[in-house]
Amino acid sequence: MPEDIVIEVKGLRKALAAKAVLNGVDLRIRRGEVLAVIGASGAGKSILLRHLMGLMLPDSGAVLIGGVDITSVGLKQLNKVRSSIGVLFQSGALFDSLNVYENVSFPLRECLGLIDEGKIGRRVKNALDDVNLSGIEHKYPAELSGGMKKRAALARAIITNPDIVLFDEPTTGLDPLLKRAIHALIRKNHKKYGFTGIIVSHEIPDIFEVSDRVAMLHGGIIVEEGTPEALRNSKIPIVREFISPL
Amino acid sequence: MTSFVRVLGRGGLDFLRGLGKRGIFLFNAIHYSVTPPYKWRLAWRQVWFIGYMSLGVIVMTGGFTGMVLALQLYYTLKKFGAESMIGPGVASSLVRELGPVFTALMVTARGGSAITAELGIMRISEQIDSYYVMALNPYKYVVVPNFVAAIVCFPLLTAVFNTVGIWGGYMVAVKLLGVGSGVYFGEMQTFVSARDIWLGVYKSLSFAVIVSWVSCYEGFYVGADSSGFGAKAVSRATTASVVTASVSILVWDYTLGSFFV
Repeated sequence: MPEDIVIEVKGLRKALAAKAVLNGVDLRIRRGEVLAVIGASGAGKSILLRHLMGLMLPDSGAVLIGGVDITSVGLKQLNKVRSSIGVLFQSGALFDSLNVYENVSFPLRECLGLIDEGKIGRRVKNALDDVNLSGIEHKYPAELSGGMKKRAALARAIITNPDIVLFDEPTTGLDPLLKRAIHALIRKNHKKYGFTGIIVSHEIPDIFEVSDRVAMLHGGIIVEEGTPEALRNSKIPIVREFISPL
Repeated sequence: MTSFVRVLGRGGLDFLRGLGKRGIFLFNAIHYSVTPPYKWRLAWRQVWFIGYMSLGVIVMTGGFTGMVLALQLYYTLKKFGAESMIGPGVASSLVRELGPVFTALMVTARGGSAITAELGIMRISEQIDSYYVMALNPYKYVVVPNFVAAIVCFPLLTAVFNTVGIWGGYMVAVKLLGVGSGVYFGEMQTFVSARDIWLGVYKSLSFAVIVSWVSCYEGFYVGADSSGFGAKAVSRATTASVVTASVSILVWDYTLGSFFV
């Protein structure tokens, strides 16, 4: 595995309820780049992402993160890899019983073991500033709007400065203005922290503005991969059909 | 005929698989309960929720159970001129059987269903997954606190149930029906032994394991089988949790009772 390749997916296959969802996915993601995985609903984008998180085991194939095949390692090594990953879930996945401050500080206390309240407070403030969400620390997830939840979840995902950040449809259910705001935040934080990002999305063409490269998943395989410009000029009918404006 | 055998076989395999998963879940829950790191704050929060918040319903049901027992026993024992046995009858029934069983059923209805629903919602909203991807063990955060809290609270709630029940029986037998106060309590001390009290404690501890096991398992694995996903799966899991826990409590009560008659 070349040194600048951080994530490599090799021949990933997965069937659910006897139906093939991933049919041999191959992907390579370089350090510091943002890759968008696009595809129709039900194409298997989120299933692919769950394999990258180690939440699902493939029927065959491998997922190498930092050179470690997370599909065949023990829990201890898997958790070591997971420590370098931040995830923004589709639903945000903020803990309902904790307020925003407790949610965002959760990885600092539980994953990094920080106990200095002053230090924790400063880092939470910085993270919330990064996502333009100051002043709502005491609110609970149920009191937040969809966009605020996504931003709080983004703050939680990046607060430990992970090497890799995975975004599962980060703008689903948001209005166009909020979608653009979330994409801008991803771009801004990527620039600031330099993480390697994978964004699963079907927000065309907005996602092209956020990503360095785009891969399209269709029929369980990556049918096209390249820069946003290359995707726009793709000759593959299904790609053209998917990304062309109505 | 072949398809019938196939359906039967698949059903049998599913049953065994489910049993195995439940067994592994219980093993993990016990294992993680006794190994560090300990999440005392979360366990304390659940003690408050399962224990303190159940006090009202336990006092109500305990009181009325003791009153009904005294009323029924009085008219039955009177036929034999044995009204003096009303105190031991009420106390023995409560301490050995009704206290632990009713307490467990009440906590199942109030706390067990809530635990299943909470964990189920955490599962479908990816909160449990988020523990995994943060390299944390979700058992420590959402399962162990409920196990620990149930082990602490069930015997205490049972003791409250028994005490209030005996007091309820006293109100009916002594204040309403005219049985002597000394007779009510005196005979109780003669006929209710420490062994009866310990049997009640053992029962309540085993019910604590059953209720926390069933309610946590059903919530933790919402949508893992063919019961679907989303709100409907949570609702099904909550119903399954209450029904399974309640039936298991009664079956286990009989099993234990038959060994310690």
